Amino acid sequence: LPPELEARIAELEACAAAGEPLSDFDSFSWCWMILLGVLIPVLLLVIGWFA
Amino acid sequence: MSAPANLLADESAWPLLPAERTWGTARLSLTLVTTTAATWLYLIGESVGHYLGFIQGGVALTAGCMIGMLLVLLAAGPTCGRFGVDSVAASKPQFGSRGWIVPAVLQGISIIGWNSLLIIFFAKSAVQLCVALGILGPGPRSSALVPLLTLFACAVIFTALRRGASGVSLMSNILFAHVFVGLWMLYLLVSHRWPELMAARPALASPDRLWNYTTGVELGIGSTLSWWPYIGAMIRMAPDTRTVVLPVLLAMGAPVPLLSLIGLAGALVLKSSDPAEWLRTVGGTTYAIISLAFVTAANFGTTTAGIYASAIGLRNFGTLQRRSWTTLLLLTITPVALVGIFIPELFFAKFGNFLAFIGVAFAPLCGIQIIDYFVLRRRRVDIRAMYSAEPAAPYYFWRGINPAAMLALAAGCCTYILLLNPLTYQSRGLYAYLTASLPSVAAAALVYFFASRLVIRAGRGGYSNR
Repeated sequence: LPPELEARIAELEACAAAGEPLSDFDSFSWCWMILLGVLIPVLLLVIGWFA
Repeated sequence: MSAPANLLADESAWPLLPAERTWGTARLSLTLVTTTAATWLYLIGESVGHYLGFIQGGVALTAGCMIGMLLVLLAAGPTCGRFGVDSVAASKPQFGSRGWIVPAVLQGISIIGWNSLLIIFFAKSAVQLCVALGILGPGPRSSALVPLLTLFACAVIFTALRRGASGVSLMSNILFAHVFVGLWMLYLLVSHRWPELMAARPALASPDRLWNYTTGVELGIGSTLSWWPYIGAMIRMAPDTRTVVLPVLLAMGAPVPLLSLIGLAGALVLKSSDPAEWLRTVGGTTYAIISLAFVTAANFGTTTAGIYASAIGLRNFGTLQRRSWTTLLLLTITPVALVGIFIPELFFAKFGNFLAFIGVAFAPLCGIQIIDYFVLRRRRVDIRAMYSAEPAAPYYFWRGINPAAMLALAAGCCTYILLLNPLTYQSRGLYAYLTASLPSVAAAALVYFFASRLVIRAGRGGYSNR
């Protein structure tokens, strides 16, 4: 790997090893995703069908 | 990292470090809104207006956009958000250390194709604006300025993007007001033509009410799935995945249905999605000038973000990693400029069909990424492996290609085309109940899941580290 890329990856791995996990979605994010990506669209589809 | 390295970080496809990821919720939202709002929204609205009335069309489109945006976020969001990489780099664990070229090509063609269209729209709107302002006279002489304006637009975008991601953000800050002009235009049309809007009947509606409704949803899902190529380059600038969720779902997802209502309303009442035309009808020349200024500005923001995302995508190619940022920008923007200068009318007439087919591939791509990340890898991605093309590297698979991903991509595309012809909108089977994009996502995910069982059994793909 190019030295600068190697340094970047090492720094990211060090972050994870130091207990700062590079996490993805937390529970807050999942709540919003379920609300905005599932519940509201389903509700809209029902409302739209009977509109 | 040293200061110069920091300055160059957002011009590379390498992972960004936490200190380099400085876009907060507001900055990301603003950039995403400006990126989303462009002429294509009228075209989406017009397409929905062929099949559905204003209320039902607006609701179906909104629901579809929200579903599509969730799929894109679940596909590209976790890897891009965690490691600060772009959409193409995020596809390496699924497609392999060489196979990622397939998503990269899809990204390049989609972005360059769409941006060529938008730049031509920009140039045409600018000519119309000059004619409306009395700067130019009407007629073919003015139209001859389209290539010159295309070149001007490309030069401005090139200059802005010399600053990397901050150039995209700067453009967004300047152009953000146009979104409110768009909302004002929508208000005008709705408030002036409400009774007609409610009475209007869609011109191409099928006798099957469910089919019309599903097509509205499908247009929403399909439109937002096309954000896959853009999303990684933007959200990698945010500090973490939590920060990107609401901006993506609201700032990127909401403007699509909201501003598409302009095209929907125009298509229903005035049989034209061109806002300049119907604003002239509603409020005279002054309103038409404001509308043209809006269209001109809108396409500028989207194209800037698109060229940036495409240039970052190109950086993943080994031969381009060491090239200067200027070279990368020129490689990305030159095809757009050449199309706008030499073949604008031909491209306008023919390339839309090709783009429709390219768009079909983003649904299975999302299905593959979602099932791989959440189910097969159980959210464990090796950042080091993403940048290693050695035969011993985890994502090397076979000759750098994961056959499971290729098979799943083909299965997803076939599923889509079997259910819905993206050009003629002729449908088959259970389309009216399922849409075409959702079964395509599901088919690709299922094929990928079962084919990956064989890959895992063969000890390839880095799954053994789970």
